[in-house]
Amino acid sequence: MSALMVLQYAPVMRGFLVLLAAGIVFPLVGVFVLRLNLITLRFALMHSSLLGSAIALAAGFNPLLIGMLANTAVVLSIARLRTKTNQNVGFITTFFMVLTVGLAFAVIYRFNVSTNDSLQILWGNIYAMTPFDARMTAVYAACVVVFVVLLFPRLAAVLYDKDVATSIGINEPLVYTAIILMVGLTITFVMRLIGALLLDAILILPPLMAIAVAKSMRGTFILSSIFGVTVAIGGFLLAIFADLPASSGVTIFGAVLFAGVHIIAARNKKRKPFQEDKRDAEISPNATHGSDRFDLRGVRRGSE
Amino acid sequence: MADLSRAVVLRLTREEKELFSSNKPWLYPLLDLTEHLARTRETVGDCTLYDKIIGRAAALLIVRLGIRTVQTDVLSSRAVSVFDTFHVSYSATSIVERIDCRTEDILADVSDPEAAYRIVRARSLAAQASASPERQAVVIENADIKRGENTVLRGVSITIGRGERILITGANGAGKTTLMKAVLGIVPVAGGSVSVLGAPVGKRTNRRTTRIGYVNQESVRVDFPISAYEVVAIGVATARISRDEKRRRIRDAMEATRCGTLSRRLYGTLSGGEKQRVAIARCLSQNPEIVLLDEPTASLDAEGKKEFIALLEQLSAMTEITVVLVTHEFDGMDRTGWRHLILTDGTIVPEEEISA
Repeated sequence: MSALMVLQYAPVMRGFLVLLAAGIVFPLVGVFVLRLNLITLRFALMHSSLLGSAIALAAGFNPLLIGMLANTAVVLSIARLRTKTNQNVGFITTFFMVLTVGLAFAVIYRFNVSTNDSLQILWGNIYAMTPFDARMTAVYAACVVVFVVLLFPRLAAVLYDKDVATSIGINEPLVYTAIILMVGLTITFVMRLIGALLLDAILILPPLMAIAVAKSMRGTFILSSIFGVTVAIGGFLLAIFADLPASSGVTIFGAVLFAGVHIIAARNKKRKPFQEDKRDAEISPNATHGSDRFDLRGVRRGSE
Repeated sequence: MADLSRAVVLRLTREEKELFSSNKPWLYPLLDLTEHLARTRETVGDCTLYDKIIGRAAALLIVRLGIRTVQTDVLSSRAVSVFDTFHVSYSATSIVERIDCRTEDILADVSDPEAAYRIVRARSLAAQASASPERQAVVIENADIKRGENTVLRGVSITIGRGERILITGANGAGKTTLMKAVLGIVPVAGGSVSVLGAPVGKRTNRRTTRIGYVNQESVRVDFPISAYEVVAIGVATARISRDEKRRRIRDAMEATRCGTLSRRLYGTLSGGEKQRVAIARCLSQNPEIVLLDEPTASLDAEGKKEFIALLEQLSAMTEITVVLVTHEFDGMDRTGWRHLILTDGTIVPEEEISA
């Protein structure tokens, strides 16, 4: 237990609390990354965040803020090009992915950003978060929760199918832009926390585990959060007790949990092929299997 | 004293008491009578019907209503064979070989009263749409529709009446999906115009488009975790109604399409037919006036297709929802009551013009 005494230090406690908040909230964003196939976008935003941080280090600004600005600029450019050119998002993001990483290393080289600081951008450090960074992360995490909860029905429609979403009156390009903006900002925060190369542990692994076991879209979001906070706490404790960097602890714990969840999910699928939920009957007490008639009475009763 | 009974075109009586009368042209009096009887739930087996002229179409509609005794001024031989088959007693002032009417020719080989009703209803809705803008669900006028830089459809014109069932066929790549997306406002119209429920479809979606239920090919392939209930709930995602009303609409739609028992199942694990029932339930929960179906039967086997079409038949027969179905394959589909248009060479033509 003496290892936990490190929590008495303010930077460690601050880092732990931020990691906890990130573990609960940021996997929600990972659900969008996976469903909308934003993996290439994720790389492009990691690179633009790296560019922003490199510029900030070279100019002496806050890397978190400049990283957020860089990502916002890239996201808005991608959204604009998507609407204007009707090109595949993967095609557009590949361009930005290559351009931004090239510019990032050009800035690091030309402005003599120290190797140590550069590595910090890549590997992150939860203990290096300033009180301002921590507050920013907390406020942003709250914004993500509000966004997902309030807009859930519309987000579910966009995640289901963009054309169907448009058909029910949703401004799909606007919602899509908001989603990728959220992805961009989240990547900036997560890079600051555990670094660019280990970002997947907190953003992607939890929703991947959730997808393996969830029975609904709502369940996918909830389980992503649960797996995310488990990875955050478990990884933090592993790092402390095994004397590892926090990012390594989070990533290793996340990978082991990921493997475990998938093995259990695969076994369950083999053991229990689909069994109809008894509660289903409550939805439609009159529904009968095998009937070839459809009852359309009452369908048009509703009014808007 | 003048015989006033002859002032009307159609009159239904029971023991000389008039129950219904009409003086409209064509088959409208019989269609109105059908609606009247559906509303009043009255049985008319013991009634006598007077109809001024009875051809095969009218005879089949009369049989469908269950009327057993008929009087008329002019009766066609085609109608006589229908009455004889279904044991309807008739008296006619004169019997003619045929009545000069396009509907009469279309129904020459139809002997099922239900099928005849569907055809007559479809023709009446199309005719009403042409005559009255209020009865038009979708109007596409001389529209050029592009996909990227290519003009896929040129000078397309279609008027679809409310409650009509339209089948649009064409080869893969003919522009069927593009046409659907133009109606939804997803694909811009380069020339001409597209109006839905009386309002032009612009670049942005508007409230009119929220009355369009859309089933496409991509959404059927979704394998991300989403329950059938959540799919149906998408239909009410933007509806400004109470939570209870939303739940009621979802429940009604799922019961109507017989997918209530699927509500907690993962959508991706459903069979092709089950997915389509859920997709239709999603449209119904939207309370739509128009349902656009893009290749809905592509993933279904022969039995599934039959069941799906039966669902659509009931959907448009019991409600006034306009159904537009585009497909590249319609083998085995009973097209009775569907207006069939063909997309070919970047434009759209009625089936009759192709076969002529």
